[in-house]
Amino acid sequence: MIPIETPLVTRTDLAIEAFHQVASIEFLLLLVFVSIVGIIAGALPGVGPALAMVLFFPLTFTVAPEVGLMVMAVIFITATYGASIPAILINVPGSSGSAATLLDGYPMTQNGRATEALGVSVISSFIGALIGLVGLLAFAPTLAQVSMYLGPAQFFWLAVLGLCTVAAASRGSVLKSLIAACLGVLLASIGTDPMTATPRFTFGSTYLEAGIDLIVLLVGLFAVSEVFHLLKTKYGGGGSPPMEGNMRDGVESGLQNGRQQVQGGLIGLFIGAVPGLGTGPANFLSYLTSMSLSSKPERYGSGAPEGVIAAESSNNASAVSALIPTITLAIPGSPSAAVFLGVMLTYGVSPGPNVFESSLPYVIFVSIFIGALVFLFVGLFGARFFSKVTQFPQDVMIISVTVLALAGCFAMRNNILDVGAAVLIGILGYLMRQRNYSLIAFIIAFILAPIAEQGFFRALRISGGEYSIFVTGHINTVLIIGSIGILIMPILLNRRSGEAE
Amino acid sequence: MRTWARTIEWDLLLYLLVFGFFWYQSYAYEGETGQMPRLFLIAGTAFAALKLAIEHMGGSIGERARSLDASIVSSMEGDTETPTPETSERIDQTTGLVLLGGLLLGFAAVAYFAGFLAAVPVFAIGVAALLGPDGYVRIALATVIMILFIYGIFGLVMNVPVTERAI
Repeated sequence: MIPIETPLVTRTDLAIEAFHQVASIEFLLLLVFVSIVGIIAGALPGVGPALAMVLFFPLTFTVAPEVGLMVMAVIFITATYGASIPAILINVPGSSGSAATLLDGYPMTQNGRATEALGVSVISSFIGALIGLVGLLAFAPTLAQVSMYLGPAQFFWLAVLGLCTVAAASRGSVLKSLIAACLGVLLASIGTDPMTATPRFTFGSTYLEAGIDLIVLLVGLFAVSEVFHLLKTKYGGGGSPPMEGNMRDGVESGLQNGRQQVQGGLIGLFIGAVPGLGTGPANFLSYLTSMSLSSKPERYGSGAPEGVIAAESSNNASAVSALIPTITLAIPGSPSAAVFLGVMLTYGVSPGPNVFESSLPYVIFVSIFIGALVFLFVGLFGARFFSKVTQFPQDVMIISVTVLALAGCFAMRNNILDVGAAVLIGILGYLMRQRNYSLIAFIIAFILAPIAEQGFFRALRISGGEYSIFVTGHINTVLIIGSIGILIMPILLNRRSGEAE
Repeated sequence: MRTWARTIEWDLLLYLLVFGFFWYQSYAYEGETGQMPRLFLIAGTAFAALKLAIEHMGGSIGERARSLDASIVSSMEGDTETPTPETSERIDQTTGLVLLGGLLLGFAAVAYFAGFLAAVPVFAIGVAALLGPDGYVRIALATVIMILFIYGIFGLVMNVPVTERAI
């Protein structure tokens, strides 16, 4: 056990003190400006919160550490929100944390409800960020301790639990979803084996040794395959759908689904606090949990606001809670949190149990809160203008979506071969969509396969080859029962609906 | 009446081929390296074979198997209904989609040999040729804006080598 215990009253006092430090007109104006820049950076495909922070970091060298940390915290949270805008409007996720957002966000746009989808997204992101902040403020030390109980065996079961949701996420044929999941595992296996550093399925190519990047996969599957769909719509005589729904509908819908908001926020809070999982798995697990527990799962994937709520509340909560192990234990919970850790160390702030005795972490929390308020404001008032993108002519959309998405791919690793890989994956994605293979199952397997593989072999190494490590302990038991429950739930629902008919 | 050859699921055969090939390849990796992918490749091969068998199974057993395979949700994510075109238009649509695939692959090739920025106007010209003369002016305008945007944000601010060629 790590001795971290600062009384809640003291923590509240420190938070109030931090609020006074930040609440000056100059700082507020600076944070508003930085927030807008963060939203724009997050909205650029391939940039995402981590790269946005890296790009901004050199600009903060000349300011005091508190101000620098404030700026970076605001960039962190606003870029996380910004990534949902292209996901909803053009089917291109700004970062992997918004991958599940487009599953219902973009169909809403296709139905002419872009403004409403942006409204749902901004209110859910705000609530998610608040849940993450409350969790960070109230339970940071406790959550950090709990996350330390999760070893490789639990990571393995968490990944298995996620893989079991493939059955729940199936559309049409369950077998086709399982085939798509196996293809996802195959693509994730390409590259250097994380355990032994042996190149696997690379056929002598140095490019393949680095593996297929998640953003390249997402851009290919969604953006490039969407370009084909845009052309098909044009040939079919379709055009931009008439604009229906408004911001108010979106906000109301977001507020009415309080259960999904809290559920997504709590999933994000927990997953984000576990080092090594990050916003991508949180985003998908929350989406799939919401779908599994819904009384109308058939609405998901065709423009259900609940899907956007589940995805957005969880990714913002997980982005914030990824800072819990970062600040308390110096173990980053996500790539963005790793950049944040680097920023903290550069400013001379040592993460650890005692960091909560000063007001500095609370300055970060207050900055995140202000960033969340600004993105709420910008999102609410800007959505009407952002959604105009959907009214662009299709030829312009085909060119701009292709160029922007592929530029984002290229920017990830400065490797031009990623562009070719995204195009090939896009063609594959289009064919999969045409033949009714589940893209969700494909992506879930791609994300979770490496986590499952590393967890499995690391656990075996720790136990000296004893398989009992996977079934020992309460956490393992809960995860195993959860996995079995998720696996049999679709069968039970199928039977129940059959009986009802 | 449709023949077996016409109803066969070519995608499933392709999956069988891909999974089988990588399954065979996985034996080249000893110990932990090959174990996890092999497990899923065997599963993938089994699922594809089972699906193929179910699709061609006749009688009540086949019907029951297909019903068990059907999930509670029947639609596909990301797919939206588009009007079904007439036969001649459908041929145009298929040709258009194949040409677009070629254009995208061409984009990747030009980006590799001449640089990312150089590939943008080439792709735009291809799209304009594919879609007809109606939107030449706005396509030209959109292309110029995209080039300036990519050069400014990705090239100058983020130092992405958008003007450099790979070889």
